[in-house]
Amino acid sequence: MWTLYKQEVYKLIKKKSTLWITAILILTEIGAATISHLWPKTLPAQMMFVSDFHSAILVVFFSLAIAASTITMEFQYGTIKTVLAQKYSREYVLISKWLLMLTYTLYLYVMTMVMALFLKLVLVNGQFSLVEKGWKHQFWQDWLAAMGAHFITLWVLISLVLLIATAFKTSSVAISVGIIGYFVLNLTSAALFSVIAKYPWLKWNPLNFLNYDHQIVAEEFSKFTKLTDNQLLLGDIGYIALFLLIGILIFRKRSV
Amino acid sequence: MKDEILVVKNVNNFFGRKQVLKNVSFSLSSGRITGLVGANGAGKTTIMKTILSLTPYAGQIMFEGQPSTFNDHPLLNDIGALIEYPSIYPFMTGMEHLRLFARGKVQSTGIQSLIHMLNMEGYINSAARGYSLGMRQKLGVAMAFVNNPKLVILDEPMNGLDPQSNKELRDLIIDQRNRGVSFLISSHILSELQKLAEDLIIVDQGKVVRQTTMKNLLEANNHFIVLNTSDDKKAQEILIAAGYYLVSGEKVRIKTDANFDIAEILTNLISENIAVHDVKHEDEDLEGSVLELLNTAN
Ligand SMILES: Nc1ncnc2c1ncn2[C@@H]1O[C@H](COP(=O)(O)OP(=O)(O)OP(=O)(O)O)[C@@H](O)[C@H]1O
Ligand SMILES: [Mg+2]
Repeated sequence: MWTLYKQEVYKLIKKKSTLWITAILILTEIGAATISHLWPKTLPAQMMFVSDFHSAILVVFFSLAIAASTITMEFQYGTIKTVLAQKYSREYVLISKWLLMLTYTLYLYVMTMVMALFLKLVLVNGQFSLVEKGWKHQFWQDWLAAMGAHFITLWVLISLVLLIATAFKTSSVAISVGIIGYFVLNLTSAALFSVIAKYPWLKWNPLNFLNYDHQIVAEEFSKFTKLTDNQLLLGDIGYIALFLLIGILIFRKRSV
Repeated sequence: MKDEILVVKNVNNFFGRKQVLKNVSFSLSSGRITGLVGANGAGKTTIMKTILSLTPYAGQIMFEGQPSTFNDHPLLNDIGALIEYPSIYPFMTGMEHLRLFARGKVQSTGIQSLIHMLNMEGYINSAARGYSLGMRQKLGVAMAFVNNPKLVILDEPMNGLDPQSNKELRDLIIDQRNRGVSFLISSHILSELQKLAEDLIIVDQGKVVRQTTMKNLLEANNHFIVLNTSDDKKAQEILIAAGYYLVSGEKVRIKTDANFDIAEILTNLISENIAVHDVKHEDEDLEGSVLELLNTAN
């Protein structure tokens, strides 16, 4: 298991895109913070800080793309045969890939958050304070909670993308579903909420649970989702587990 | 009793409704090179994938006496394989591939000597996306050997190799065999396989039609004596009259079995005043016998 995990990390590090992604994220943050430094009135830093100077959305895209390719590249290159022709069980092979994604997403979050803190101190320190009142608690606490919720919500999408990648073996389908899933929610949430208002049991559908990161930031969302923060959190974890489990069931008996 | 490293018993394999392997049973002798032969689509690759648990199957597989199943297969620690086409990540170098799959105890000297034997020094440190077909194939072969396996499974290993590389691969296989490694090798290039394999498994339409040794198979082959005489036409008549079986054609080509007597043939001709200038032996090769076997099986 540890061996499989190390192999996954090795492959990820050897990919050129791993380096670019970090570079792009850092540059985005520096860019956004600089603009706010120059025009604090039009682009207040506090708003941008909550999304790690606009890098949070990029983290979503990159994570989904990496999640899909970590599975589909093995089929595309035929390397899945070599990976599976080791003594480890199919379950372990898949779990090692999940752990890789967990490590990688944690890295991206920590990296962008540390960078955001650094840029705040260096470029826009005067605009707001971390200990001032946020929307629930102190601002820094709310920021951490928002990041945590963002992370969990992203993982619902990641687990779905991993499942689709395992089932269809093609990246494009998997990435599209993830990214569309992310946007569809924002575009259709009004429609979704009106349906939920009519048929309350529909609040349990997975799309509604993707509202967790919104609701953490804006409490009044719970009027529409009809779920508490904790229900959303547990539901998200449940869906993540469900999607990952279905992935295992598909992968267990697959002929490669 | 000879030592068997791998025993496959009553293996059946389906792709959807289609049955691809039908009650396949065979065993591999320890420290020997076994050739796996059969037409396109006969099931060679599927047999190999089954041993490697790459495809679900029903039946029994034992490795060094230990049972292995699709889900629980510690045997794969001791098996190295190259199936169909080599598994290659284009963004990694050849060396990185070998490091990636090398397990802890494998020394870099082992990797180095593998690279040396396959003559890959020139490109082992450049990205695999730039490799030619043969370079990829060699990397795939090297990956099969990297963890000092007890059994190596090679599916069409000579694919795309030039004559020099072919010889390097053959030398590597023989060198490893002499150190006790067992092999299961499939190939359509039967002349190459004939130089390597000691045992043979012949499959046809998902069934094992014959498991034998190379020696037995070739011994059962036809042998011919070809004579160059002062009067070929007359020589043919004389020998036919004397009860020999001649292959029709211009040349004097006598079909014999392994224990023929050349003196008797010569006496027959000399007594009729025919001079014999040259005597040649011709043996049917592996290709001939496999084709014959598959034809009679159908
Ligand atoms: N993924 C698959 N789906 C359906 N049928 C398959 C699949 N893979 C192989 N088969 C079928 O299984 C049979 C055996 O295939 P296999 O690849 O084992 O043959 P082979 O002996 O290796 O042939 P070749 O010499 O062409 O490599 C073929 O009839 C093929 O049609
Ligand atoms: Mg094949």
